[in-house]
Parts: sequence; C-alpha cells; structure tokens
Amino acid sequence: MRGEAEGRRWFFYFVRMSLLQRRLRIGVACLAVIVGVGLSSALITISLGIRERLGEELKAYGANMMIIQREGGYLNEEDIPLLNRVGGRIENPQAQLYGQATIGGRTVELIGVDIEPSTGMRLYGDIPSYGEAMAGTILQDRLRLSIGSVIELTSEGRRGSFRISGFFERGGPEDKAIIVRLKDAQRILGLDKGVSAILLRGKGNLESLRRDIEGLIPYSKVKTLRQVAEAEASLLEKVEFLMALVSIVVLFAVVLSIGSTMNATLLERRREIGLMKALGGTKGSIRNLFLAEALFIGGLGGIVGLPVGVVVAEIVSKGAFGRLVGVPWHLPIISILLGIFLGFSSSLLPLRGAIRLEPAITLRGE
Amino acid sequence: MFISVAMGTALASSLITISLEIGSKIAKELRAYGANIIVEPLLEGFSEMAGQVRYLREDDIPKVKTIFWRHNITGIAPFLETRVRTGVGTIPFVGTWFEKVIPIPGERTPFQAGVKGVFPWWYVDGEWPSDSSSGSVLVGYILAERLGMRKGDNINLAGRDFRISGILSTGGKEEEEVFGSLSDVQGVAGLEGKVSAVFVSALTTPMEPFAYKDPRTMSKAEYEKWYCTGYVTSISKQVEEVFHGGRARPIWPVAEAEGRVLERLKFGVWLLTAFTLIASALGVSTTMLSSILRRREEIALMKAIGADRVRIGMLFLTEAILIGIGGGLAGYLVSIEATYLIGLKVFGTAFPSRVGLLFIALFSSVSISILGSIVPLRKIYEIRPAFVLRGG
Repeated sequence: MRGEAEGRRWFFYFVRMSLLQRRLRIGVACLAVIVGVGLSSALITISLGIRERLGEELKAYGANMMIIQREGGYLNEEDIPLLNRVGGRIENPQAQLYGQATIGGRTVELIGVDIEPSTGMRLYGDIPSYGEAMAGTILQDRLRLSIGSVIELTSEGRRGSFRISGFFERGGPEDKAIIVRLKDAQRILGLDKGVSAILLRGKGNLESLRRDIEGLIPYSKVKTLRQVAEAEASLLEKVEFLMALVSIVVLFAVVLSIGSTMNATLLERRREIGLMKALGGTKGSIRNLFLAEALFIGGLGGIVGLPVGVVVAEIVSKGAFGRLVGVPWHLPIISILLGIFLGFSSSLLPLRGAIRLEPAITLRGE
Repeated sequence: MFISVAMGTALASSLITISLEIGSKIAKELRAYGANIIVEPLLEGFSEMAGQVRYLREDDIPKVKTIFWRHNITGIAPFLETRVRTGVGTIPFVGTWFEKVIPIPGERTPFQAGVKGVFPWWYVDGEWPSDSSSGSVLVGYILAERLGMRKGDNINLAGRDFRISGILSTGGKEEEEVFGSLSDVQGVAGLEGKVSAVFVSALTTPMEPFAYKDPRTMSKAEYEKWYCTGYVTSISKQVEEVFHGGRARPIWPVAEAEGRVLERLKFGVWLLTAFTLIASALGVSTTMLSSILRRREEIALMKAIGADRVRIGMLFLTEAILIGIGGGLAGYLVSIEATYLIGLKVFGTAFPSRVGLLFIALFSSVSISILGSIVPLRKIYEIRPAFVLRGG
C-alpha cells in the first residue's frame, strides 16, 4: 500500500521535473498544439455559424413564405401579432395590400407596403412616408414622372394626392406598379385593416412552420415560395458541407504536423528512456510518464488554443459578414478534448518506437 | 519538418484553389434562384398609349449566346403568354421551351435552353412535354384542382385537344396556368415566331458602386470598364442589344443578393487561407525549433571547430529551403487530390487543378519554411559550445 503511494508520488515528481526543466521544448510542443487547436476550433465555429450568417445575406433574395387568405380575400391586419407565437422561427413579416387605382384615367397596380431600405429592389430616391408614393421604373417612363411630382390616385370615388418620393426597380411585374404606405393604400382602396398577403422569411422546417401558422391565423393559407426556399436550402447545405470537409482536411493535417513535432522531441529523449529502462523502469511506467506529459501538453494547448480559435473565427466572420459569430457552448469542451487527443495521438506512435529500443543501444551513444 | 511543410503547403494551396474557384462554383449554385435578367418588348410613345401588345422575335433568342459574355449565359427560357377560352372560362395558356437544344450561330456545340434549367424548383408530377408541337401540356397544380383534372386527361384549349402530361407545382402564379410547348401556343394564338418575354440566367460579377451609375452619365473609361465587366447591368445591356425592340432589365432581388453572397464567401475563404498560411508557418517554426534543439550538440561542435553563426545559419536555411521545395511539391500533389475530392463531393464537379498553382504552392512553401525558420535560427546564436558540449 505504502509502496504504491510512494510510486505515485515519484511519478508526479518525474512529470513535474520533466515539464519544468524542459520548458522550451514543452513550449514548442504546446505551440504546435495551440496552432492546431486554434485553427480547428476556428473552423468549427465558422462552420457552425455559417448557416446563420449566410442566411442573413440570403435575406436579400426576399421572402420564402407567403400567407394569404384561403378564399382569396383579405387578411386582417390585427391578426399579424398572432405570428409572434411561433417564436423566432420567422423573420421580417411584411404585410402587403394589392389593388388597382387610376392615375389620370389610366389604371395602375397599387401596392400598399411599408418597405425597408433593403428589400431586394434598386431604389432611386427615398422610401415613401405617409402621403408619398414610389413608382416602378416602367411606370416612371410611361407617366414621365420625376421626384417631387404629385400624382392623384383614385379608386371608386376615394382619392388622394401623393408626392413621388422615389422610384424602384425589381425586374418583375411590380415595376409597372406604384407603392404607397400600407395605411394609405387601405384608405384609397377602402379596405380598413385589409391585407392581401404577409410575406415572411421562415427558418428551419418550413413545412411544420406552415402548419403552425395556418393553425394560428384563421382562414389563412401559407404558400412556400419554392424559388427562394429550395435554392437557399441547397446552397446552405453545400456551403456547410464544404466547410465540414475543409475542417476535416485541416484537422488531418494538424495531426500529422503535431505528430512530427512530437516525434522530434521524443527522438532526442531516447537516451533518457534508455536510462530509465536500465534503472529498472517497466515499459508501462515509462509510457505512462510520457503520456502524462502529452496529456499536460495537449490540455494546455487546448486551453490556450481555444481563445486563439475564437479570435480567428471572429476576425473571419467580422471581415466577411460584418458580424460576429456566436461561439457554440460546447466549443471549450471540444477544443480541450481536441488538444488532449492531438497530444496523445501524435505521441503514441513515436513513443512505442522509443520504448521498444534496447537500452544498451541507445546508451552506447551514437 | 518535411511533413509540417508539406501539410502546410497542402492546406494553403487547397484553400487557394478553393478560394479561386468558390466564386464560380457558388455563382452556379446561386443560379438555382432563377433567372437574373428579363427581356420584354419595349413599348414607347403612341403605341404604348394606345395599349398595343408587342412581341419579341423567337429568332433573336439564340443570339443571346453570341454576345461578349456568351459563356456566362447558363440558361434561357422564353415565354409566350396568351389567354384561351375553354369550357370553364378563360385561362392563361403559356408557351415555353422545356428543355430545348438550340443551335448557336457560329458555335459548333448547341446550347441547352429551357425552363428546366432556368427554374430548377419547378416540379412536375408526371412527364415534361416535348418541345415540338406534341399536343401535350402541363397544368398548374391549383388550376388542375379547380378544374378537377389529372395527368393523362385531355383538356380542350381554343378548340384543340391537349393531353395533360403532368401537373406543375412551382409555389408561384404558374400553378394557375397551363404550359405548352412554344410552337403549340404560337400555333393556337396565331403568333408564329413570337414570344412575350425571355428570362436569361447569367453568371455575373458582383456590382461595384460605380456600376450602378446610369451608363449614359459614365465617363468614357468607366463606360468601357462597365461594358467589359460581367456586371448584371452590362450583360443585360448586351442581351438587350440582340433583341429587336426589346428591353432587358436585371431581376434585382436575384442579381443583388447574388453579388453580396459571393463577395462575402470569397472574402471569408481568403481570410481562412491567410490564417492557414500563418498557422503553417508557425507549425514549421515549431518543428524547426525542435530540430535545432535536437542538434544542439552538433551545432556546438561546429561552433567549437570554428564555424561562424552565419555559416551555420545558412546551413539550416538551405536545409529549410530544400525541405520547403520538397514539401511544397508533395503538398501540391496532396492538395490536387484533396480539392478534387472536395469539389466532387460538394458541388458534383471537381475544382480544376491549375499548373500556375504549383508555383504559388512552391513559393508559399519556401516562404513558410524560411519565415518559420527565422525565430528558431536565432536560437543558434544562443548555443554556447562549452556549455553544451560539457554534456547535457
């Protein structure tokens, strides 16, 4: 019993002295692990966050879902807050009202919507505020409109004059239409609280989201805009897959590279190992000694590599997407385990070779 | 050390290959969002005021593949929209190319055009009709439900019977329309050789701020740069030029988002590449350092018998450069295989390997081995022969 405790104390003494006396070499091995862990954990962070970051960019393609009234009529504006109940699975709900109005005897499509500056359109001039309108570029050419000119919109006796605040081009049939604020459109069209469609961006499983929304808003029907939804899903999948493969390749390279460093440090200690053996150390006890060292190096490398990786990931994310990336909660665990794994796996093979050598050969000198 | 350099080079040159090619690969993927240019007939002045309807010429369509940026055109789909009377009221009957191979003037290989390529989210339950005057049509999902029709049924359009070969779902207004081959619809409507809109899918260069300017207000140099760069606006302009009486416009939600996504992804991969290069240099540095530490006695001996630090440094540097060259070659070969596999797995087409990359690979491997050696080499100065040779 006592001998075992004594042995354990000696074991830790050996490890401690070995680490303390060979600070530079340990530092070198640690640096290799830090670089490896840093690079891999940066890649992991980026790959996990890329879906969200790229999703932000893909927003510009527009909505991927559309809520309409089942019978082809109008939804009630007051039902929109009900959408909050599906939680964070939807983004940017935008109510739109479509109708027809006349300008000087000519019928035009009228769209009532409170648009935001970045909605996948080229905007020339300003977004309309109340009492202002924005014309599509084709309509602009046809009616020879310019910013500041005043148009009068009429619909079944209701009328209102609007100042042109700017023009928009979307590359679709909307370019022949005129956009006013939702409230203004409701007034002109005589549809208080009326909404033709709510466009939104759904996240995650769109099919279950569709069912949830249809359950929440009475008389609603949700259409998935396949053009956006499908292209987005396939793109995100590919980019994620690409990142995953790149991460694997990097990890593989890192293991090899650390392995060669570890190999070099072990080679120079062959004499030491030979001496231990000559003094009666068993293969197992020597191996444990060195693995404890590797554990220390790997663990330390993993702990220091973590912030390095996070900083690299944040720099890449900030540079490419202008936003920071969220650090996954399990990253610290992953990076420390990764460090230990790297330390272990890279020293196992060279260690086996070093231990197998006969002390007589190594101690004889080269 | 050799392995470190080879691995570093392999990583760096793989990432360089990926970042060079990712733009065009992702651009192709982004074409799944559909066409980014639409051509419509131009109506002006009195004819427009009189509410005339005009058409584009079908003959002009193949010319799209003859513009300066012809290789960037990945898809073309014309539409001819008509309304036909049926027993159940007037319904839209649209003619298009489904998957038509068109000969290109001045080119040996024909081009595959049609909605199948341009609008990949169109889903047909049944079979796509052929592009000849086949008498078969696709009926939109919503319309089919309203009319109570299924695939295999016959539908009477403008006095002619068509067979429904499939039910079309798209998630858009197409679900309320009937689609036939262009020649069928032209025949029914008496509009031979005419189309009402052409959708063009083109690979584009992300727009730069100046490119948004009205071309008429650009300076000569700007105009030339604009016209000769594959911006969506300049490709639109060139597409417009081949159509008689056409007006081409970018479809902005598609065109704009594409540019942004591309720029960001490219930049992200570049940054990653830079970090990998730094990491490889550090990796080489650690290996070099450990090899110098291992050879302390050797160095001390060299010093003791009169070699100066510069000579010893040169010895190690030469070694580093040789290893750099060897490692660079090996790394380059590994990277070809790695990027080939990645390209094939992710995008279904391999990243092309470039010979030019060999030089980049060698350059970067030699520079990482030199850069990685700088700090370790300073260690040589610190080795004091008497101290080391006494026995460690």
